[in-house]
Amino acid sequence: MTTHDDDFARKVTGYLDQGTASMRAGTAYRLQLARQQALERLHVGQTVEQGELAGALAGAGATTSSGGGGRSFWLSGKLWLGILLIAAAGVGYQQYQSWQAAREVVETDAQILTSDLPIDAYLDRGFQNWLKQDDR
Amino acid sequence: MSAPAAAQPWSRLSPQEQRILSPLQHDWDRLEPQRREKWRGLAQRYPRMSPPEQERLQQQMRPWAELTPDQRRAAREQYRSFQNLPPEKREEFRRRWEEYQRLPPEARREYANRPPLRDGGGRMYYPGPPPRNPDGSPRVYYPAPSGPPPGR
Repeated sequence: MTTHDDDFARKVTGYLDQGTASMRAGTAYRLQLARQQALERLHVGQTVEQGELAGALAGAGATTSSGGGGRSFWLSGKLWLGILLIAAAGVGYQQYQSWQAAREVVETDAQILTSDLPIDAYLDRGFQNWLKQDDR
Repeated sequence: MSAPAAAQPWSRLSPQEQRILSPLQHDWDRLEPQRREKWRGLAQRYPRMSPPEQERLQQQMRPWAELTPDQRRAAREQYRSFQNLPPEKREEFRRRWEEYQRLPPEARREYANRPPLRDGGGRMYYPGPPPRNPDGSPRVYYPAPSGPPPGR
C-alpha cells in the first residue's frame, strides 16, 4: 500500500470517527440493535445449515423411511414408553386370564366336592353304561 | 395368589388352613404349587359353606386329591354338563344314582367293564324317564350269565 493510500485511509477514518462522535444516543442505540440482530440471524443461519448437513449425512445410511428425521423418531422416549405400556398391558391381560381360569376351576371343584352327589357319580363308567342301557 | 406364596409348606399354613386341609396333611408337601394354590382357594371358601357342605368337602377331599389329572378334568366336564341339565333332569339323575347303588356289586362291575357308551359329542348321558315294570316298580337289570352283552 502506498503512502498516498495510507493518507487517504486515515482521512476517511477521521471523518467517520467525527460522524459517530456527534451521533445522537438514540441513533447509536438503534444501529447497535440492528447490528446485533443481523449477527444473530447470521448465527442461526449457520446452525441450520450445519444441522441440515448432518441430517443429510445421516440419511445416507439410515434404515427408516422418514429420511433425515429417522434417527430422532426411533430415539423418541415417547415411542418406547408407548411400546412398553402396550407390552405391559398385554402381559397383564394374559395374567388376568390365567387367574380367572384358575379361579373358575377352584369354583367348580368347590361345587363338586360339596355336591350331595359323590365324585363317583360323575366318573363311574358303569353308571353311565347302566343309564344308557336303561333307556333303550 | 403369587406362586411363591402358594408353594408354602404345610408348616407355614395358617392354623385355620391346616384345620380345613387336614385330610391332605401327609401329602401336602408333595403337591405341585398350582394344586396347593387351588386347595388354599377352597379353604378360603370353606367358612362361607353350610355345615353339611363343609362336612362333604372334608369327606371328599382325599378321594379328589388321589384322582389323576385326567380324571379330575373329566369329572369337571361331567359336572358342568350336569349343571346344564334342567332341574327335573338333575333330580332324575340323583334318583338314578341311588337306584344304581342298590344294584349288586357284581352287576355294577359288569357295567363298569363294558366300553363307555357316549353320545356323538362324547358328553355325559343323562336319563330319560325311568323304566318301570308293569306294576310301577323300578326296573332293575342284571347281567346275563353268559353270552355277549346286549346291543353289541
